[in-house]
Amino acid sequence: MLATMNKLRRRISFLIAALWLCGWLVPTVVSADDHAAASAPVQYAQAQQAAPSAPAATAPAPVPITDADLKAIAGPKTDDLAKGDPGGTLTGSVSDIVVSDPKKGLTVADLVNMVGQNRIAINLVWTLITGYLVMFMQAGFAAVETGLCRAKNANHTMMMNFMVYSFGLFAYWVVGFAIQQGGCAPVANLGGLNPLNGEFTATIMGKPWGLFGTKGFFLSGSTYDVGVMVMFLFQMVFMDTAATIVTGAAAERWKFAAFAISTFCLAAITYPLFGNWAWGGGWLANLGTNYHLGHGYCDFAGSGVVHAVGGMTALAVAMIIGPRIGKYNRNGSPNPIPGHDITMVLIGCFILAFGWFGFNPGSTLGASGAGSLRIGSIAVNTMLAGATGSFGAIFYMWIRFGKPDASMTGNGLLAGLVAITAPSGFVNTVGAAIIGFTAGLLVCLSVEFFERVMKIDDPVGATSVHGTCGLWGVLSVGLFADGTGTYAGSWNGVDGAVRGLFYGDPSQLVAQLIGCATLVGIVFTLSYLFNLLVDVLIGQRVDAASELEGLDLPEMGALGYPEFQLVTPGLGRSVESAAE
Amino acid sequence: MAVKIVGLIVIVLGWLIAVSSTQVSGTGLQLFVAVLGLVVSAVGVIGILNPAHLEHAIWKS
Repeated sequence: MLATMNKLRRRISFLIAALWLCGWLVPTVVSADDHAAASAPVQYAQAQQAAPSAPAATAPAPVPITDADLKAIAGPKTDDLAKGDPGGTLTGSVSDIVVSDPKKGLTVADLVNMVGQNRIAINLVWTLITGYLVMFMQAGFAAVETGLCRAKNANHTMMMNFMVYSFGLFAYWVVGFAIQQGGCAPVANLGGLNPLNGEFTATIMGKPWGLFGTKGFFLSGSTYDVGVMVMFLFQMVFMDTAATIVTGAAAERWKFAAFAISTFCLAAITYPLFGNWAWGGGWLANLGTNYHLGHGYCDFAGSGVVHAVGGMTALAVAMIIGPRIGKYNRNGSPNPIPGHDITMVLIGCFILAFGWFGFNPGSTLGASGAGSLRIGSIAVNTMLAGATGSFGAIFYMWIRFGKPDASMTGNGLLAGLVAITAPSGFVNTVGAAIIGFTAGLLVCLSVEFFERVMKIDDPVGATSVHGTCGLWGVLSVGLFADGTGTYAGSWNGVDGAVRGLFYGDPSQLVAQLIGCATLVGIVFTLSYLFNLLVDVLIGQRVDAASELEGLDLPEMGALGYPEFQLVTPGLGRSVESAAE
Repeated sequence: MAVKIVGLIVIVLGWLIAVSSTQVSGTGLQLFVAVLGLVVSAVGVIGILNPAHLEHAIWKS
């Protein structure tokens, strides 16, 4: 076999040499020269590339480009452009470069500024578009949660997912964004974001701890800035993802008013605080510079910041609000309460998986410069972990219960996506596959643990998908980060690439563990206290009659499915008569 | 209510233990202290706070 391969290789080499001698390959070189001749300044550089064998010492010294050189470059003629440009060879030329002074014409300064602005423009557009994708995830969450709830609560569940967007956005605009990102400057990919330069710090254990930002309330003053607006949009949709996680865990029994106030608390305080500590230049991000713990807490796209914050809040609310009527028997054994539309659930999962391509690759905050071209790797890691997550869940459910459970397979996909969110920018594809598969198994175990051991009723498994797997994602950075993601040469102010335990830096795992402890110790506690206060002031839970009837009429004033008679499974009678 | 407060205190205590890992030397010891803190917080949630809520669970009445 080897001998045949060698023979074949020799023949191919001989053929190439023969073609070269016959001059068949020469036109390629001539073509390059021709192209170079068409534009004098560029020709110089290409001529150097065409002669790689020439010794470097003899190569002509680079000649600086002058304004005169630029003026010698002619764009396509108007007559040619008027004929149309079906091949796209004329559109986009020297004529399209913006000049600062028409009298002077094109200068080197104009050219350089255009290059800089193009880089930032690419990054702003990239960040905006990925932000739009993340915003669309709200539709996925709405479908998943509504499908997993009973039909009698469809309107209520949909409306929570719908209004979490507006409630959250308003609170984040007023105060949340400033607390989170008010001191995040500089962010080179978005043009610096220099107005966001206010971080409140306190000296704790001899080191400066960034605690919260102070610039950007109402996006007013100097934060009325093109880059800041892009940052706001992107960060807002992330916050909204965290906020909407809670609605799933408390579904089918949460007062709409209590939900609204709880969302305000999360969007204005809880989420932004942790977001600041991790992403806004706060103390967690600086564990590396302050205490030499790897690169500080690393969370590329938010397994911790977004998903675990949402998951911890979901746990706190579910704990306070208690299980649905009928979920547990008197001896504490759980009853399954199936959702009403599995097709809606799985379509929602696909919408979420699609939106995740905004979530993770978008977290580079750009596609140009500073290692942002890693977006391809991040996107592949994302899709791989989602797929292996669904493998893990289907594998577990099939072995444990003899059937490939559809809703848990969907949750497995989401679990893999949640888990890869933090490490997506730091790991290779093998790591991503392992992280996703583990999350798929973990979400099934976690759902059973919360339901059977802790007796916490979470209709959609939000605590397990986002809380448990969010924490796993944070930890997995400290294990699987492979040291190849060199974003502009440093991360969180520490030189070099992020490495986990398996790639030689155990101290990174310490930073990640501190992040997890903060999520459980501080984020959960804050969420619990806020929601306990809401419970004391207005009550979190609807009355029993409303819950039995379904929340659509008592809470929202309209049924989700008014033309259908809803029958309680197993009872063979309508919900209304069951409530009586 | 008292048990719930104790639960919350233990949860925050776990965080303090984890953060104190920054003050010890040796990565192995730091890892141990950080894990210990996380476990203490988890005990606060799973072992103290949640049972306090389950005492008056709706399905027990």
